[in-house]
Amino acid sequence: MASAMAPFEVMIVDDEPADVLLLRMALGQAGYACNVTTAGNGAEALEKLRECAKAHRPGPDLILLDLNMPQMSGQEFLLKARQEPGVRLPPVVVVSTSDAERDVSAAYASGASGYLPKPVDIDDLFVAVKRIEDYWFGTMRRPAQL
Amino acid sequence: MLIADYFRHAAPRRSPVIWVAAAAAICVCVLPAAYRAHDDYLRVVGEEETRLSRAADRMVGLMADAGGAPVEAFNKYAPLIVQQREGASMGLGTWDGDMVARQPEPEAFVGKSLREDRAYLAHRANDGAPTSGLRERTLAGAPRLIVTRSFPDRDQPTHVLFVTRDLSDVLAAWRRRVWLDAAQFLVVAGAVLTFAGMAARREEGLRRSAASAAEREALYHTLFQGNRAVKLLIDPADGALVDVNAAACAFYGYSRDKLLTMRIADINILNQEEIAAEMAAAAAEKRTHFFFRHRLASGEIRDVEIHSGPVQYMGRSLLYSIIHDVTDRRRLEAERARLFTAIEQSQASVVITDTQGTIQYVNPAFTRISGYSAEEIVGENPRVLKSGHTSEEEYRAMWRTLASGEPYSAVFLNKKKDGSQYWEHAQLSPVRDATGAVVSYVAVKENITELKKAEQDLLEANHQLAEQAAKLQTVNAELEQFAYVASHDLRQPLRSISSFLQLIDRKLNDADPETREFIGYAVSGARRMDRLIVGLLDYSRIGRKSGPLAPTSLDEVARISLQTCGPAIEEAGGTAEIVGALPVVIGDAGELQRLLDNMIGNAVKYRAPDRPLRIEIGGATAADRVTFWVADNGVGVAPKDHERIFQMFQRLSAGGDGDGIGLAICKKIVERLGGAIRVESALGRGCRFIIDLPTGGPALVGDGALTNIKG
Repeated sequence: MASAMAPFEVMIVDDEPADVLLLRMALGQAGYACNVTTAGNGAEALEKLRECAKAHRPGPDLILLDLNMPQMSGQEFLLKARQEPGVRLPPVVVVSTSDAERDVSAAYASGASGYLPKPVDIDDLFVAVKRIEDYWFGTMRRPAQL
Repeated sequence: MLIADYFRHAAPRRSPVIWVAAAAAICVCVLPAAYRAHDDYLRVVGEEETRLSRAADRMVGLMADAGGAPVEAFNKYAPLIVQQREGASMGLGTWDGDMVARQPEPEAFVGKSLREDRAYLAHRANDGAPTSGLRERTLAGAPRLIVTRSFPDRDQPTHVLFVTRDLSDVLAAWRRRVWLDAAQFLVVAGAVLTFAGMAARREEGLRRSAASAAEREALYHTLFQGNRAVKLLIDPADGALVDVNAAACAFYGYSRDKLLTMRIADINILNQEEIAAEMAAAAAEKRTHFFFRHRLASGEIRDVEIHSGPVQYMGRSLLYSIIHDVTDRRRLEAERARLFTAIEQSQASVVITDTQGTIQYVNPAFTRISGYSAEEIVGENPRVLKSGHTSEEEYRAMWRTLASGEPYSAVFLNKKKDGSQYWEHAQLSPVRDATGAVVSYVAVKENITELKKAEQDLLEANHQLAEQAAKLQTVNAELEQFAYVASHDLRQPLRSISSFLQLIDRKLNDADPETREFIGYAVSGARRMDRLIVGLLDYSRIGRKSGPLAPTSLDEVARISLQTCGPAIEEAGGTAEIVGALPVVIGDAGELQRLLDNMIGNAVKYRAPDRPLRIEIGGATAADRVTFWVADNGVGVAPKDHERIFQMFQRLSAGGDGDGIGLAICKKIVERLGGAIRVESALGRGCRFIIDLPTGGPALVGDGALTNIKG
């Protein structure tokens, strides 16, 4: 259905390879065609966004962002990316192990568009990620389809 | 004595009549007596003179008859005549004044000159006429009667004849008679004067008693009626009031007429025995006054001091009583006694000094605290108590303040007699007399050594507490971080384990069932582990996430909770109901809901399989607490487990889906609100969780700051 269009690009920012793998699987399970790029922490992700800006590429359409990462945390990444001129920040859904309220509110305050506590059950994760894709892919693609 | 008395007491205005009469009587007695004495004198002297004259005339006759020399004739006859006239003597002098003969003792006188002799001179002055005279003082010292004759006759005298006699014996006899008379007279005069004195007195007494009954009445009126003191005249026989003065009427509040109908027993509130006892006490104490209590017309009782004594009045013996109202004095005395007792019994030490600072009084508390007895310290200056801690400047300021009449209070470190030190809080006040002059100083001092120590301890304790609090803050922060790390870092690998096991399970579609069963155990273990971690985090977060405590409608919370849990209850085929009105409690709505959620969840979880689940929520408000409860008809809890179920990780049934955290969280929520939770249940009979909360919320609202982890 979206084959005519350029494939959706999702960047997973997470330092935990297992989680990256699971998220990748979850994204694939949902049935949307999308390119997945990854970054091991906030700094790497920010660097990738800068490169896109330099190369005048649109960059990822959606970022799934972990919070607790080495070098640069997810929250720091959010703040810096939003403030940096030239860098285009797509919608960000925080996907974190933490369901602590302070993390949730801090994430939204820093500009996150959604928050998903990582479920312990794989099926829950699959459902949750599909919901995210349903929402964001629909929203983002709509102007182009018109 | 009577006379002396009389004169001593004589008053000038006494009547002279009696004394004129007395004087007349005395004159009547004295004049004849004096006359008689004089007459007697003349008679005895006259008789002697007659005798001596006769002897002289006879001698002249004999000498004339003898003729010849007169001296010889004298010497011839004189001894005869002298012998006849005992005590008499004769002498013959020449006309010119030479003694020529003397009988007796001629040798002592003959040849002496008579020219100086008064009898001779008197004879010559009398021109030779016969003379006679009494010479009181003579050479021999005795009174002598001397008679002279001229010889041969007065016309042609050649010699002078002297006849003398010592009249001592005669005059002595006369004097004796006169003295006797005088003594008799004195006795009579004394009697007369005595009588006169008595008469005068009687007359005076009569005059006085007659002196105006009106004047006496006026005097009485002045002394009795007009006096400011309350006075009563009492008939001792029956206590009747015979007379009362105006002051008495004013004091007792009765009219005079009314009082005169009363008896003293109507006024004195004591009965006869008590009055007698007071009189006996007065006698024993040698008092002349009594203390009674009198009732006034108004019913008011006054303390009175009575001076009373018997008087004779109008022929009756009456009790004359002067009454002093000593109620105020008594009250002051009682007040003074009370104050003195208070000072003596006071735990604070009291010191009174004069304006020089010399101690005049200390109370027992002072002795107890300082170790100085009153005998030792009175007369000393309080400076003996100085420990040296307080500066001289401060002492000077203190005396300056006191001298200006202002009170002063300060804390001193003083020294006991044994040298040990103690802290005192002293309140010093000047005491003024009626004129406003400062006459002494009073110090009331409280031993605050313990207080000082406690203050010091408290400061230290506060300091330690602050340190502890700071440490606790750090620990709390660390704990918070730990909890966060636990929630994140512990769950992350757990989730990986669980997720990949599930993925493996899917890949092992065709593997033997046993392998898949094992993987199933591993996955459910990981899930349980995750629930435990989440539960622990929940437990540690109680009181941290929530806002301040506020009055919360439990009814509202319960309705939301039932809504939330509604599906689960329905699924279990049960019903839930709020029974009656639920109270309003002080708490946090979110935590209260979790409390109810947990208990409802438990009820669903532990429902009895053989009967439909039934949940009831109810409550009540008592004076000092609110109670609410959640009851079910589930499997119940054995009494031995009633305590255990509220402890962390204590599950009663192995393999159930409980994680042993829910009730521990409930307990913590309730205890944070200052309340208590307990269960009433028996195995198989359902259970009732009862929660008691104080009406005013937890005693210390800030309690959570120290006991709970705070971000």
